[in-house]
Amino acid sequence: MKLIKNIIYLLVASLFLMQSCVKDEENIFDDTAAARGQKAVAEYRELLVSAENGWYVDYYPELNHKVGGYAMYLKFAADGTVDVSCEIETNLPPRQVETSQFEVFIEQGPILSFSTYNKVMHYFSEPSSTDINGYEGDYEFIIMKAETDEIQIKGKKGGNKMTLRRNTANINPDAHFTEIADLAYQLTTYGMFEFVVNNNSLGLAAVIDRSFDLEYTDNSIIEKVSYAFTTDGIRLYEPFTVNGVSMRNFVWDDANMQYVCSDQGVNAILKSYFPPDFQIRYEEFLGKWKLNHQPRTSSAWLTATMDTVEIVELKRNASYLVKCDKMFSFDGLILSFDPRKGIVSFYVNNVGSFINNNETYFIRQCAYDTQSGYFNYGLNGIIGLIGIWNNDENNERKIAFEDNKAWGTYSANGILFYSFNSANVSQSIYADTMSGIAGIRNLTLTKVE
Amino acid sequence: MKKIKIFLTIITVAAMTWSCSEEKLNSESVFKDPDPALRTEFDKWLLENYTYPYNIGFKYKMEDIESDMSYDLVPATTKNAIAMAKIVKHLWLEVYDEVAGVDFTRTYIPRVIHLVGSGAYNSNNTFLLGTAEGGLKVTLFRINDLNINNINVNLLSEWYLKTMYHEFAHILHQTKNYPEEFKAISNSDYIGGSWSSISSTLQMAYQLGFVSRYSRMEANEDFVEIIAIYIVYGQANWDSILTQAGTSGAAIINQKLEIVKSYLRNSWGIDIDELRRVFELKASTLQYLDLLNF
Repeated sequence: MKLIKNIIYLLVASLFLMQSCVKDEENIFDDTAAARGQKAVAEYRELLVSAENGWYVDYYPELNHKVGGYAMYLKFAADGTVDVSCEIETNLPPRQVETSQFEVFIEQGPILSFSTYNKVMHYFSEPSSTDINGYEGDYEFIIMKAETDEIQIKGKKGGNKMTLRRNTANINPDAHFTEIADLAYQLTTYGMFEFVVNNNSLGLAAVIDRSFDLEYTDNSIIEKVSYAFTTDGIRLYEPFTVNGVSMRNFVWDDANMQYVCSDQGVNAILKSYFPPDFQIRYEEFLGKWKLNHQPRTSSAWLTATMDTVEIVELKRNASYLVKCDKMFSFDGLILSFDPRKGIVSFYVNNVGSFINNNETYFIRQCAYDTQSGYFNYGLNGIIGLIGIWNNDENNERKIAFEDNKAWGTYSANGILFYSFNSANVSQSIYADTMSGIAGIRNLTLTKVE
Repeated sequence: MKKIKIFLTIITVAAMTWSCSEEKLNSESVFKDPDPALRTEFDKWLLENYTYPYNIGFKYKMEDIESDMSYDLVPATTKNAIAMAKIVKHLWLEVYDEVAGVDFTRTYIPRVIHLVGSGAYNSNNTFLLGTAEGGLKVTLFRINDLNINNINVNLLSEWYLKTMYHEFAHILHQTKNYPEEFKAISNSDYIGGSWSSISSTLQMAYQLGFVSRYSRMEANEDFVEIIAIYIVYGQANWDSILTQAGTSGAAIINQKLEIVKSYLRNSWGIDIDELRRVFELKASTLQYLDLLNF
């Protein structure tokens, strides 16, 4: 009985197995998957190379494209090389071209890869011991959609979407990038915009790098909208929709200091906005000032004195160098600018370096409580001295620096110089090699006309 | 009865095997060489010097899929990749060719060498020098940091060559075991992952009879560290280790070295001193190698 049962099981089982091959499977495609993959690769290569004037792309590094995009130029050649240049300074000066190799291959989908090192492209991906992720820019892209004049790609790791636009008008990259950079430079002094759609003010947009933190008036949700500069304005990372209105391209209207949406039938503007308590614009701090201060050596305070200094741009709309090269062996102090309020502050910053016994030391301007003798060396931009403006009384512009009250029971009323032999290991008070100065207090800047 | 059962099973299996005999294999491989027309001079050189003689894929173009996706990395510059390809051949492959014969190198060398331009940085202030996976692939990092106009063999050894000799020694002992007695010598002083803790100093490692801190990981690492450090860092460095190890430490290191030497001699017919001599000779001629042109 058991035997018969077994036989039946086996026979039934084998019947099922045999049935599976009764029907022939029909191929949907004429070619094998491998052959089709090869063909696609050849076609994508051909398309990339076919743009004899190259392609422009708004390149977005960083996860969630949070710092915005940069105009980049790509020219692919049939021999597998690609020329890359960028509007901003990378590992090369702006606009300078670097050639490296590219490849197209199939993984899960078609991939465009910049596979050998390129000083421009890989600037956005390069890690270092101090910034282990770098700017997290992609250099391997999934080709999402390819048309004659537009190729949509998506970063393989970071997922940012970008579009290669064929340079059909044969615009010279050098001139193109100069124009973009000039506009970008001019526009970085606007730190805040009022967002107006169909003549309704919806809220305020604060600029951080190349993105807006959009805060609606009717609720506190902040939306991040990143963008790249064009020759006449900005282009958003992707179409942005609010109240059913979709927008992407804006043109700068200099007379009215506003961005106007240039998309067909869209009524939207970003109007430059200065809050009622906004004090002084970034540019107005640039130039010559008198710096009144009281210096100290490592042992004692000296008498108060005055030096003429020059305030120059360090990072546009964010910081300055107060050039005191006649006072110190390093270049000067770092002054930070708050673009929302038009106020300057001295926070903790590295201002110079020197080498001793083959080891590099950093000179840091630290927040200093001159009464208690305590100082704070945290590089977090919180504790420091805030500049109080005299509202130009008596036709004289004066900024007096006092404690910003961020240091608990201590008072940041001076600056102490300290040397560090690595990022956070403290060493000793730094008495400047040239002047012997170890710290300063009672700082006042007076504008020189 | 049992026989019938077996018989029926055979028939069934046979039926399964027949059932799909119609499908033919496509003669075309899904793996394709890149278009020969796109080969650069360097690609051709690699074919002639790595692929054909050794069956090694020398991947100088970055493929993120080949690397650990958790690191952010960049490709190597072509210029440095060319230099590295020549150095690796000169100071690694050819050293084994000369001492053990090209067939030996061909048989046991890892199949893929992958170059990465940047370091692979960890958040704890360390970074990877190189990795080797299952004896198949060696990945070398920081290729772009190499100053090819000022090549320094000590730096090469520290960054790359020690790693390569280390990993290759793993392949050897995974193929033919070394004597168990080696493992017994320092059995109580292996501390696993704690080797990198601040309290396990280099001095301590020496005095316990190890040639590096990492040797304390486990016996296999101890074994291959001896081979790598003995070959690439030279006799002066070895003597200095012995001095710092003190009498008891030096005795242990010497005892281990003897086992290493006889293992290489008996199992592989390789004289480690000859290996080191050839390595040093070739290192001294490195300056005459044209690292830029073919």
